[in-house]
Amino acid sequence: MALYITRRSFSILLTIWLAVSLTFLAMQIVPGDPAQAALSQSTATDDMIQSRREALGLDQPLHIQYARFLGGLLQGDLGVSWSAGQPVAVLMQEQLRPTAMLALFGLVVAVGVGVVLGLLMSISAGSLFEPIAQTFTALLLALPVMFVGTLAIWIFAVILDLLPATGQGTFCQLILPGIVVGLSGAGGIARAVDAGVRSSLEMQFVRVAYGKGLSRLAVYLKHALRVGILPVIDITALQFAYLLGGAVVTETVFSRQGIGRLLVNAVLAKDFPVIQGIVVLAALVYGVVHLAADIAHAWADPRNRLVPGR
Amino acid sequence: MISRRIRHCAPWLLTFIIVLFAFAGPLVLPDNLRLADTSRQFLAPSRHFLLGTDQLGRDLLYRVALATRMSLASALVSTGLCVSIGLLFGAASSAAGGWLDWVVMRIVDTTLSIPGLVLAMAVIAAMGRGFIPVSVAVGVGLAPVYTRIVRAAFLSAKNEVYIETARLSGAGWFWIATRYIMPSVYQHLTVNAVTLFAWSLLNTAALDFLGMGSELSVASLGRMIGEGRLYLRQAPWTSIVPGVALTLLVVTVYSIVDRYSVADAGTMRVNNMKNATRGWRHLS
Repeated sequence: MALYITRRSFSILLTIWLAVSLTFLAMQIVPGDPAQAALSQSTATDDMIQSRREALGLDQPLHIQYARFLGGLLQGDLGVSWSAGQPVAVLMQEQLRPTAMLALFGLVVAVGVGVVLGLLMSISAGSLFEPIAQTFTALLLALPVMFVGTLAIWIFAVILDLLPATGQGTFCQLILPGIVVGLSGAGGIARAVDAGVRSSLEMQFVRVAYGKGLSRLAVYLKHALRVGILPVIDITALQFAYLLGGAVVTETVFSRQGIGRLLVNAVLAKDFPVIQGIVVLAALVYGVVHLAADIAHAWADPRNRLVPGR
Repeated sequence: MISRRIRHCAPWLLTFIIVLFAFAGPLVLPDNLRLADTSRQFLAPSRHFLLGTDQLGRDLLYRVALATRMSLASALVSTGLCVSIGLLFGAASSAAGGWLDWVVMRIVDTTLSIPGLVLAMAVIAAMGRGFIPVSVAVGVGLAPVYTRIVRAAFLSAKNEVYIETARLSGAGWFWIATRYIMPSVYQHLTVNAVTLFAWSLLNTAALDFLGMGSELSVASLGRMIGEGRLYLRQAPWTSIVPGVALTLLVVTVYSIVDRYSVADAGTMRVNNMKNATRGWRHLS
């Protein structure tokens, strides 16, 4: 177990290093000097741009820039934002809270709706309800967040005037975006639960459970769902990782603050240190969450024992 | 009996209607509907303007047709690119194994862990705005997902006895890949390619919604949703009409997927859903 986690941690570090290097390379392709971009609003003279470039270390050769950047990263220094002038770590710390709240609430909704819907689908197999549930989950899978978000704002904020459409801080402001994000993730979970439960229904232990005289509902809830819930771990983990790395569209629709908005603004302003910081965060979360999902798998199903290097 | 037949045809019928609307619509509808005319700003849906008009007085029906055509074309290019990359690297990676497989999978993992927006930004910044760069950006963003799908499919077929037999009989790897493995996995790969098409539609729209996609002059569903949002109070249809169009488009593609993925067994379906998460949550 310890060996497994150590090996995986190294592979996470490798992924972060690759992601950061890839992003560093990609940023060299982006035309336009960042120093110029940072000063483009003002009437900057060539001298000012030149001195700014020196201050940012952009006059150095590429490999030195890269070495400096990696060196800073190893010491936990993400650099200073070019447009805001604040340390990237501070900026991200401020934005992480609203994004984490959104991701957590969204996941609760996604898992709740998804598991119930998936169970309904598998119980109703062959009945009239099945095509309805099938279509409904297809609709959930297809939902473009940008549109559902807009629709939700129109219905609940503009027409009914029930919930606030924008901002963050209170729980009320979390409800709409959380439900929208959750619903868009629920379709995948529902289908995975359905597939898992259905395939487990053909297994021996389910026949044994029926043989013991358990009711259909008890078999579904106690035995089949236990197997069917396994893939939910993976899917939920993935969704969580992507949401924490920036729920870009959701945060834009609901004008929330968060990592996603920070990323959009950084991309538009070509604020490379901030972009790099978010890439590090996303890669780290992606790796850690995957590791957690694998450990959860091993815990839930002893057949998936943790083999190093798998 | 009849209802089952309808259910089987419905996806293709819907597809046909959408394609007809997108490609014949702009040819049939009167051309002046396309043009801006501030005297007919924000007209509600009526007999003259079936879906209403937008902030510049352009007919939404006409614009949705144009934007749908654009979305379909763009998603087709993205999917084509994505499938080519995925087939090449997925097949090579599973056939070669060893260090090549390791390198390819590390690259796949890395690109999946980078936020989709950053990848798209890099491609669009390097190639400039426009139809091709956006399609390439979306296609490249999705390529690692398809590479994984292809690799997994090839690996699952690789251990079958008939492959071993073919190898013993002296068949080369290319012959085995095309003549033995492909026939057994092509349905699975096709269904997943169609799913990719749906994600391409969604991701392209997301990029346009964020203002990083196609040129401003081009009609696009994502940008129409985004621009219409500003007028939600006075003219909600400017945002809702393109939104419904996009949803309908994606639901239709998914209905085709559902119609043909019946053959996929339990674990494969679960994997499909995992890939769905990788595919488009990336840019949501």
